[in-house]
Amino acid sequence: MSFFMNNATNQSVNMQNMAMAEQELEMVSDLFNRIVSSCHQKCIPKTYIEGDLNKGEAVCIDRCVAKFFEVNKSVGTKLQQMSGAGLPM
Amino acid sequence: MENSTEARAKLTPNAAAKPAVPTTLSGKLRAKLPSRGWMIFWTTFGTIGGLVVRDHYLTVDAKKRIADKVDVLAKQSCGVQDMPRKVTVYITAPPGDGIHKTRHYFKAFVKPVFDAAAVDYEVKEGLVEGQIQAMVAADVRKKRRIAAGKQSALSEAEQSAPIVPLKSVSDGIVVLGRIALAEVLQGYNDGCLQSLDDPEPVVVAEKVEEVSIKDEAASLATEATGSVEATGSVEATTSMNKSEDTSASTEAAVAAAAAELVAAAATAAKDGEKKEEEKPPAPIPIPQDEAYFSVPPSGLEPVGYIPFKNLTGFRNFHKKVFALFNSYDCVEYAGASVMKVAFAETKEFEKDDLEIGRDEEPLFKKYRGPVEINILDRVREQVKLYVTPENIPELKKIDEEVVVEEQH
Repeated sequence: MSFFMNNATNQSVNMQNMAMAEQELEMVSDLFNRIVSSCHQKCIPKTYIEGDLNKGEAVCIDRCVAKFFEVNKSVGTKLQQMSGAGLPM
Repeated sequence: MENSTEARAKLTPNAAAKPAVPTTLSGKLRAKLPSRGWMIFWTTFGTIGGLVVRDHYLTVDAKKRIADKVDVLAKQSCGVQDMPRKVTVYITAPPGDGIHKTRHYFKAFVKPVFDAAAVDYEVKEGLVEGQIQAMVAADVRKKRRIAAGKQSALSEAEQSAPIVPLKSVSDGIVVLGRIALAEVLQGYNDGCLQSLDDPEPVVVAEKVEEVSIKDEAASLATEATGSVEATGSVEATTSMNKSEDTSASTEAAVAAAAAELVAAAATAAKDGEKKEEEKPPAPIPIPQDEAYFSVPPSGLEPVGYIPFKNLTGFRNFHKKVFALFNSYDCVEYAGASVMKVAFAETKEFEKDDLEIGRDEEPLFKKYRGPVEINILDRVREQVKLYVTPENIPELKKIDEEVVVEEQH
């Protein structure tokens, strides 16, 4: 999954590219929001003692985000395989 | 009285045959208890289950006690641009057994303490003997090269990227077991002594004449010693018939590699020339000598040793069963050492510290002899060891507004 495709060479606004870029932006921001809500729910306890994150929470969030990306990537490739093979969903 | 005894004697004609010690339970008790079969079942099931549950409770308690001590570190605040502390864990298979043992030991006894202390870790496995040594040496050498300017700190992709994301840098090395410790220290030794220049790649001729192979092999074998030590003054007296572009300083090293190549080529040439072309060239060992000694500017990472005893063999079966039901002492055994790593207090690595873990050697004497660590004093003085902290920082209490105290 590419983040913000490289459009350096093409200067003119291509409607198809614009649509694809918009879609990708939407996907990425949706992914980001999911990560934030999921990892916040799992890693950060409800009672706040101080405003800064502490080390335990920081480690937890690192791992949560890493796992989320891994799973997202593998699910994405799996779906692609399935749709590529033309299996009924 | 006598009437009652007589009456009882008449009712039970086999009274005389009744033994003094009862072999079955009394009738009333037997009526209340389940059958003999069920009794046996519940006794065994209950014993084993009870032992497992007891052990579970005790390990949970032990882990909680350690986590409470180490929690102080996890509750420290982490700045926005700061990454949590990271260590590299090197594990290798115990002799005569599989690496799954070490993996399980790490996951059960070491990982919980790291998680409680909020220390990030990366596990690197040495599946083959000497792999850890090579990895550590390559790491140290890379740092030295970056410091000398021969290699850039950022990789190719990162150099062209607009923003380089934060990366956590490994702050310490943790080893499980004496063998991994030996490999890491020897890796430090190699890493500090290897030359910073990469050796020239060897161009192997596709056709190797069989006539000269044996002569060359014999002469090269006498020329090259076991260890790869390049000295600038040594020049290979035998002229190599192969077409090679090598610098003089690496010739001795190449000779050692060439000896391997020649031996391999000899066997391959017998098979046929096609095989010779397909086989990739053997990796060239990097020349290593005291003349090249230098230490990376940030120093060598401190080493934390975690004792790892592995019972093997049929005669240790009873000990293994005992250990299975008493794994809570392993929690404290390993946990104490992991705490030292978590609190990150170091001291110089002394000569006596090379004997750490000697008590594990009798357990694997059947598979390999005592582990000797070959490390130069110059390198050893640069290494640090994690030790028990004297001052454990106490957590700042917000409601009392007390500044961080140090508890003695």
